[in-house]
Amino acid sequence: MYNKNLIFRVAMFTLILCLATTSLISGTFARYTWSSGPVTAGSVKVARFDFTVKDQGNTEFTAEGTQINIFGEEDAQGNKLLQPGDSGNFQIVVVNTSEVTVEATIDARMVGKEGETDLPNLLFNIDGSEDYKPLDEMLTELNNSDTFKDIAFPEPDGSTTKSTTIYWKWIPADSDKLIPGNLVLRMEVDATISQVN
Amino acid sequence: MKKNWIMRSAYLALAVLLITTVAVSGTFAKYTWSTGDMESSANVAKFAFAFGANMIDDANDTLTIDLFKTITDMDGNMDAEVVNDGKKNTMIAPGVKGAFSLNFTNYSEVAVAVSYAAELETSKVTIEDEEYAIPLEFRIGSGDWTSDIATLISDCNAAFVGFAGGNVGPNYADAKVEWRWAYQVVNVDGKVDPDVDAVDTAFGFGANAGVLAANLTINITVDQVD
Repeated sequence: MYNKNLIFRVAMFTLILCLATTSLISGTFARYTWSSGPVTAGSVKVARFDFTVKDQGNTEFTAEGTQINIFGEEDAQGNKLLQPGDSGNFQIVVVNTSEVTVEATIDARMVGKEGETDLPNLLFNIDGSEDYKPLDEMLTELNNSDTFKDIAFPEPDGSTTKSTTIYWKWIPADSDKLIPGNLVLRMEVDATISQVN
Repeated sequence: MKKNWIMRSAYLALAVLLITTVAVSGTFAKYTWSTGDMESSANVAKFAFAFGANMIDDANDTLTIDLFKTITDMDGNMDAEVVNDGKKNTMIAPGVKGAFSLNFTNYSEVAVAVSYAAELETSKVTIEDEEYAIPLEFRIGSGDWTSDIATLISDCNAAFVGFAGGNVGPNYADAKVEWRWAYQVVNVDGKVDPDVDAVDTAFGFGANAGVLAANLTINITVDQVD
């Protein structure tokens, strides 16, 4: 009796093992599966940021600072002499060669070369009229105007240019008496170029 | 010893039994009847699906995805302040954004699971010996913006997508991923972060020396669900 039960159990086990082995060998455990592999799903370039800021003589503004011609031509000794009543103008030119629209913000200040604070009464405007105003007021008016706003990106290999002329005049004033005779005047002009959103 | 002999006999008997069963097919029966050939067939279930209009129903089908196809300003309009062809932007700069959809439709006759893996590679700029990637950010729905697309994309995975007529759930799984390059970052003090501007500007200037680009690679796997 014991031997018959044992033989039966062995037979069943062998049958099960046979069936399991058959299915493994024939691969019936496989499923549907698909993989795309690495797909380049998108590639995009960064737009260029490129421009030039210069004066009317094509002297370029640089990040390190540049000597530009504001007060006219030098004399034989390399000096530019100013006296009450003198006037003149200079240009700021912005050339946009970027792939984005830009705008320019202009800042400027008058300084005595040796730190003098009693300076000539130079006034400015941007329309060439006889209505001159202090430097700060002129700069506010300039930066609030459309002059250097929305300088569009150009056509490929092209450029877009915007410029302004800044007029100055030494309006005589009582404070002129305090100006040292050997004053060396310097005007510093900065331009900040920003991408427009 | 006797037990081994019995075991061996049992194995031999079983083998003989199996062989004999195959060889002798009812020849000992008195009454006999045969059904003749009984035919039974079954169709193999289809395995097919689509990503948007891109149908995959053949082993040779390939997938084409353009995740930067649409670039707009932050309002969703063509950004007129960045290079465009009059209809759409063709480059990225601070202040642009876009979105891509992973619209999966299961046309199989089995339920499937779909999973995504993404890798973003961008050009780099170096500022004071520190390297920066293009600061693209991504999000799904109203979630937080993150630069970690590799982790975010797994949120698009669908563990179970049913099939038409199967009554086991919808046969589609859609996900929309937005991306952006922020125009500027305003710190808690209300001031624009100059360091972020510096990195952005470095990319703009860097593009003058050569092409700077962002490349997104994606891997998609579709598996039948057991």
